[in-house]
Amino acid sequence: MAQQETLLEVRDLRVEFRTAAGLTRAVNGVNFTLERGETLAILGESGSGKSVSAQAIMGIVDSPPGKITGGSVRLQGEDLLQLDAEAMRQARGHRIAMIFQDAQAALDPAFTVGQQISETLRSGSALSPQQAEARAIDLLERVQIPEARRRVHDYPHQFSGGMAQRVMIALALALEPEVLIADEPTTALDVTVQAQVMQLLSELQAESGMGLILITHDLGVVAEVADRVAVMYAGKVVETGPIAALYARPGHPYSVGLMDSMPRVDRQEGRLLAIRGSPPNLMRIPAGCAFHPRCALAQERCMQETPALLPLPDEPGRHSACHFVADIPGRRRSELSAAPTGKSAASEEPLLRVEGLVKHFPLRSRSLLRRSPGAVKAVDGVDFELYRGETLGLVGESGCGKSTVARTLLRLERATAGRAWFAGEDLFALRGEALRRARQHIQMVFQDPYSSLNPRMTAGAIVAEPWEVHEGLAPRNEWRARARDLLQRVGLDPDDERRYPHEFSGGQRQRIGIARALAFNPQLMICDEPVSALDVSIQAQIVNLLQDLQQEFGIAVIFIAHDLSVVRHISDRVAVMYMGRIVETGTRDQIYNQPTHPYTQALLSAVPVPDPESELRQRRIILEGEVPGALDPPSGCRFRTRCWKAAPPCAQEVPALIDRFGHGHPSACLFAEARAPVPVDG
Amino acid sequence: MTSEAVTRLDSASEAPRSVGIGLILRRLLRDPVAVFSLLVLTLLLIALLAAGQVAPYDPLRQNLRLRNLPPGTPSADEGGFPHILGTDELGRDLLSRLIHGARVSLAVGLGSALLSGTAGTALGIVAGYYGGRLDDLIMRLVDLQMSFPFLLLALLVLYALGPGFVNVILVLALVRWMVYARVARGLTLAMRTSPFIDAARVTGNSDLRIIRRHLLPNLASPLVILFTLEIAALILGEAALSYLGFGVQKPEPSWGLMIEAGKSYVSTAWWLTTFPGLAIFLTALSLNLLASSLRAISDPVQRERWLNAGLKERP
Repeated sequence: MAQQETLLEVRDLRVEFRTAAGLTRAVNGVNFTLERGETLAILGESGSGKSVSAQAIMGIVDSPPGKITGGSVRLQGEDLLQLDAEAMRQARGHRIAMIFQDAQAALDPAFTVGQQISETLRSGSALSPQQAEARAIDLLERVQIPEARRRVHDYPHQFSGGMAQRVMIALALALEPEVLIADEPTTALDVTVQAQVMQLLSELQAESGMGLILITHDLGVVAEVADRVAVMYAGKVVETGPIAALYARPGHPYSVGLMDSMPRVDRQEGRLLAIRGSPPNLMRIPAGCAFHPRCALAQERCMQETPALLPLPDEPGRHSACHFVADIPGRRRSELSAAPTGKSAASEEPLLRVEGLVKHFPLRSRSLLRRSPGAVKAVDGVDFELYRGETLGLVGESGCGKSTVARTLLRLERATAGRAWFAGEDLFALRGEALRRARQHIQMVFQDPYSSLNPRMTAGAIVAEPWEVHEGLAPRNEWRARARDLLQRVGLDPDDERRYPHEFSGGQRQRIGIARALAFNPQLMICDEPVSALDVSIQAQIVNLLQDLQQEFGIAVIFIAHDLSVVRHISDRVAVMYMGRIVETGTRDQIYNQPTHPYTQALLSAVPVPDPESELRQRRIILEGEVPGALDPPSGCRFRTRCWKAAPPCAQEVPALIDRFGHGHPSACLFAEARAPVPVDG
Repeated sequence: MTSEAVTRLDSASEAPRSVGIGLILRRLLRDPVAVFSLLVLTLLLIALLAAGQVAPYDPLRQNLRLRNLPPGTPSADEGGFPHILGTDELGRDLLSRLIHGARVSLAVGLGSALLSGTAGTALGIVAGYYGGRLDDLIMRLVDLQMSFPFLLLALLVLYALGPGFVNVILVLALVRWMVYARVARGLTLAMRTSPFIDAARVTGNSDLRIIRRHLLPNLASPLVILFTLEIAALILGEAALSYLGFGVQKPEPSWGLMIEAGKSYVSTAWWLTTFPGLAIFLTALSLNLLASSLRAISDPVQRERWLNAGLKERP
């Protein structure tokens, strides 16, 4: 950073939404500054007001119902909130630009990306169409889109998610703005692609010296790229400061809670310390400090007096809004090697054995005469075993087939080939009544707590449905009492039985989904991304709940996730999937400490670690390109197109998943070799 | 009463609240649009159930001396009810004929809407849920019928079956079922892959139970609205058929027939066409207005918002 020059100064910004349901105070006095060449991360959960603040700065708050009710936004001294519509339109793009989470949706589907970039360019200066197109190609090259000259004529739908986000960045940079606001720019992307995009953003920023505001909920991403961070809660900034100091000694109980509740990919930790409760309803923000109902330090004063964002003594550049700043405990660093929950794969029979599982989705041809034009090879030969009471983590990026494995095992999809034995029974051969009976033993927890509960049924009815469907499980007169008991077990109020799903928060709904699965007393529970749709502070609660219940009931769990940190935390064994195949499997420690497959190594190294001092960063592997289409996968090893070890044999031979080192740690790579992602000390 | 309702709503997220009929009615009665449509529909219902008792005259009694009397003419009988809407070309009391005509119109509207709704919804759900050949077959049939002029089909069938009350209901059901089929199929298709249907399957529900317990309640809201709108469309359809002489037969009163009969007198006796036309218009309008309230009531998510908005506005 050269000399300090304040680009953007936000003072006491307030935004309200007035709707039929009531008044929502989304932003309640937000203060921060942004220097030239600086990256400021605004960290917060959903509903913390981080995105609305950005919209207010850009002048794109939906109005009505939204209204900016106070404050100032000074861009190099000029208050943007005082500009008229035309002047603000001029400022957008030229001086301040924004990129969004869903780039695909933010681009106009009816025009080529070249047309869209050219249009922006020509709105700024008198360029001929040819000049504008040449400039558009330059920009696409700058954001590292391969074959930019050809792709400039493509439409947005022809770009993958990561590439579309690059186009979006090119579009935002077209007029060389002073400030770029990135609202969750990588949340929708796979972890290996996320690493590429974050690296690109940092490079572009270093080149141009613009100020970057990165809005995110991901503590890892923040630690990777930010210089300073502002933590938001309930529409206010509760803490700001330089990244290293803030991560080392958080100055607000909420920051402490967030950091403690996050599992780490680079470390084995004990039970997660969840923040209790859930983020407040913005129509009913608690009086005093909005965080007090969830805070362990809260006292009488916190309920009455709203703490101001004050500088921390002896710590330059740091501010915190807590009455009891001096009492905040340091971050918990319990690195107890908590023993994995379940048993080791001992002598007993596996509960579930899957052999050669294949699931192809044939593309439907619309013509009657032609044969199907091909098939999406979602799962292409998967074998694994699962023992009673054990947790198997199934990880991989989106589209790798991990969810399809779950769906075929649950008989929601018909397997194309392969067999599965569950407690000695051939799972895929079950029909009719036998299948219905088997379902009692295999249950599922879904990813999206919003759509996995029937909106027309009360919580009580949802939990009791298993007994209604399967006669003889529980006598009718006990349903209600049992449902209440189950709700209590998963941490809800038994009286919640009368409420409908929409009256619950995401975390609470997920608890209902878990209670429904438990109503059967199942032997196997398949959790498909059970926490990925939840807020950071809620994830830990659900992970802890799952672990407790598993120990209490001795259920075997298949835990499917793309989040390698959570998988590390909860699994006994881990299987890594890539393009429909398992590329490596082993115990948790084998996978995380001594990964042998290049894909596992790259995946692990791409995970952002919520620790600015982490040594992991220097050893990062950034993969080239994106996952190829599953319609026509590469020959031989499917990872070879992105692999730095790829050699001619990889194209010919499909590497078998075999135990190459005799440690019970099979790897599907011809050149498998262990590589520790971090120095093996913690 | 109001403040009690408001405090109950304020605590909605803390304590579970059962939404009773009382609360819904109270909310409805506070909405002038809903009150209007309920009023019109109540009057129609009375006409439907007790036309004989309510109507001041026999709708079929002719008196050629009293032809085409303008609205408001006093009764020719001693102390008789005035002809407040006038009389028609055969001297029959227009109000009485309207009341009896309501019976026919509503019966046809309700009857054919129920019939087409049941058949169309069932076929649409089957097409959407099972997909494949069955879906193709049903949807091609829908396309075929969509592209065939409604009146032409109705006239052809009525020509074959002969006109009459029951046949009109059958014909109207036959020409409108595909509206439900399309909506039901689209919604089923979208919902079939949603996680809560997967969850129901994992729980061990049979297909029939999934459709009955999980799919249908979630389709109810849009289908009920469609049903209400369809009644209005079918009343218009009945009027059109009767107007063309293929529906209800003279001298039986029906709104469509009345307009048909009055058309020759438009220049001299405007009330003959205006009042039946107005009746059709008000019925259709009320049903349409009621549909939007019904949508809010029948969905637990919307109901909450709808109740909040309506009960909070006026302290």
